[in-house]
Amino acid sequence: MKKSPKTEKLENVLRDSFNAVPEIAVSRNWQQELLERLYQLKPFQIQAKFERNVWRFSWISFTVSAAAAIILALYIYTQAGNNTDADPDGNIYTSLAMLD
Amino acid sequence: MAVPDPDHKIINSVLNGNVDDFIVLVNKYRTRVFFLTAKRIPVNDVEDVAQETFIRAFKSLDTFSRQKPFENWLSIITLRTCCDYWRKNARQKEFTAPADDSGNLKWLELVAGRSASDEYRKNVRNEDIRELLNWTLKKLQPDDRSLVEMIYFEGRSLKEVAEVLDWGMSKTKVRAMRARSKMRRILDKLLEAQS
Repeated sequence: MKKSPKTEKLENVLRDSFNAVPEIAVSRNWQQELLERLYQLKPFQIQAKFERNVWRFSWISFTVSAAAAIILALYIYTQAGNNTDADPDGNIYTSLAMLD
Repeated sequence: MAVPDPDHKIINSVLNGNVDDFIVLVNKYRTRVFFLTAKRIPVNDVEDVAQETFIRAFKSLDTFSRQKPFENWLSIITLRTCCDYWRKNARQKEFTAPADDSGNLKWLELVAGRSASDEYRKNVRNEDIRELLNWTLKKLQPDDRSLVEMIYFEGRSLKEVAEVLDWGMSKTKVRAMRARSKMRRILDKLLEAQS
């Protein structure tokens, strides 16, 4: 973009103004208010919340894994049962004869 | 052997439940936070934003990686809090539009004119320039405003700004160029209106 010298000068003036920080008088209560707000939060409570979430996640993982293991065991058990009943040779005619 | 950072000891203590120790950090870095905030935020809201900055730092103290100095980490939180302030308040805060008040803008020529190099300092009130600064920045989108402030006014690196805004480098670069062009167009129009 074409630079206009006037615009550039104005931009520099604005930059100087931005960097010239006005003096801020901090009110006497500021720190006290901050401390009160901090006491309501307490980071160790946040940590405790994090730990609770970790425990919750662990329990959910454990339950899901246990359920999966039980389903797998049942599946294997039923398959084993089917295998003893089924025709070991897999002969379709034998199976049909069994149905009769 | 590296000297242990005294701030880390305080941070550990705070994380162990000694909330009062956080005030040590507040007192140590308060000036820095107020300095960064006062540049960006209207005077009336500086205290609130500074307080919000410390609250955010306190809440996420356990995520402080300790690879960088605490001051840098806190500065990033300060800048993010200021960005969020403008995202939230961009539509609410109104500043007097200098273009509507052309009678009071004769000083613009003084500022931008070729003849007056440093003369404007003597003749133009800082408040007027500040008002124009606020008006100009207000014309930009909140993110563009933050980019102009950080890159062109403060001279921060693109990498630093990308970290503050949580953007990629290329996005930051492109957006920064656009933001500056936008600001220049605004100033051009203002100067045209005055001449």
